[in-house]
Amino acid sequence: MRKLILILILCLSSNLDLKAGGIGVGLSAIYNFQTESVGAGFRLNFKPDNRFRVIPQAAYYPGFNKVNEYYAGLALELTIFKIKKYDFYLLAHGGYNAWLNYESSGMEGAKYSNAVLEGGAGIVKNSGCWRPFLEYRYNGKWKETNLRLGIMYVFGCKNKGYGATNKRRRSAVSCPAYN
Amino acid sequence: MKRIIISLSIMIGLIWLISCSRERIEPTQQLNSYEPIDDYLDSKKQEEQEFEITEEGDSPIQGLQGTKIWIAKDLLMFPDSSDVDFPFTVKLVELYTAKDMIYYQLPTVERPKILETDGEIRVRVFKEDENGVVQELLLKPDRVFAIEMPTDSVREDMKVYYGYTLNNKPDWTADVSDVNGNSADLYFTENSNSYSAFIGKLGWINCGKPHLGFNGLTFTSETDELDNVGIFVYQPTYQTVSQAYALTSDNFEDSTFVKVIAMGINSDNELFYTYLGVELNSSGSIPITLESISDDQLTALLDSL
Repeated sequence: MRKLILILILCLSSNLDLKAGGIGVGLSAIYNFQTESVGAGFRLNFKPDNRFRVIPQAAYYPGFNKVNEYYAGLALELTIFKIKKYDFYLLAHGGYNAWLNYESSGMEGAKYSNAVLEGGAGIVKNSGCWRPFLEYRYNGKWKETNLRLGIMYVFGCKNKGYGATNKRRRSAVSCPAYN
Repeated sequence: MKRIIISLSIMIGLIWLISCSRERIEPTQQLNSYEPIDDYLDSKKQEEQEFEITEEGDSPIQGLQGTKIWIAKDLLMFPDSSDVDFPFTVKLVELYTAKDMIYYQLPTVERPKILETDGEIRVRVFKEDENGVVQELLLKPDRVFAIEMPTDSVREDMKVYYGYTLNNKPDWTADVSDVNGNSADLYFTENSNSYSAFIGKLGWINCGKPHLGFNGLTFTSETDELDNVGIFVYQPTYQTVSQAYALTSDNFEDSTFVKVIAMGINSDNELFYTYLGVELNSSGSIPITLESISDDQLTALLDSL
């Protein structure tokens, strides 16, 4: 499964023009309130300036937690309103969950492979190359909530203070008068 | 902006309070475990009465609870069909109360029906053979013996049922194909305060009437392992005793009121119980939580059924 995710990321990455400002790469720290577990997340944000975004992502909760697991899936985000430099969005995430230490749980029906669906909301900075974000999610499968605090780097940013939304570009213009 | 923040906070808070679960990390609750209840119930069983018959006579054998038996040596034979002479021993068990039926773990059923009952008795006859071995005697072919079973209130159309074991569970049948059916009565004769009949087979006999129902109970517990717990359902109207097997009772008719009694004993010989009344309008699941009880208290509770 890990190999599949890596291949997916590499293929997607290799087919994108990283200079075009069309992709963000994010890392996040995650805390699950019910399992009291900490984890890390990774995501790719295609066209981060769009109101509607498709975001493949993965998360991993290491073995020192009460629940050792990883997730891989796809999130859909929709910005519902903006306030100055921040977008507020709703999200839905569906994916695969591998519960690595399920056997140590007393929960009836615990198993290794699971399908999960999450819903939530978040806030993200909508300009600049470095864009912090904060999300709160509810996992419908496990009935657990988690908070994600992360940072995303948007490729294609030209200068500090300018984001991929900067439409003021210099283009090569030839002056017919001088040709 | 303020309203949005407040709304989001309320939404987050509600999700947290209403829908969150820690089931994945909560430790498995240890259930209270129990030893098999059989030994305890056996220890409370009614003593089997013995009557040594030494000569011919007209008087019936009379049990402590009023059962009368007329049985002559000419009706009896050894398993090898040889004749029987005096003396021989008649052994009698009389179960006329729910408590005694529960102690004997002898439910009143003709599966899948329940039996309305006015008593269960067991009649056996023994004699030492010429080799000094005590053997259980049989009735000769086509021979029957007479019994009379007492009652406080005569019920109509009570049939003669014979006890047998099916799949390791006690059961009753009115089928006379396995008994001396030519002469045996199918129904008890109703007297003023008793029933009488000619019986075609030695062993367990039930004075009963069948009823077919569709409402059964299943039993669950979040605190106790029920595998070794004795669970009985008593219906006062029919005086029916049902025993739960695999945590499931027999089926009763609609709108039936039943009493559930569950008994457990732990490895320290401490007794536990649950007792409750249930109005049966459909099949249902009954949660059980056992509480501590003394032997005297449990005996008194069963007496009160």
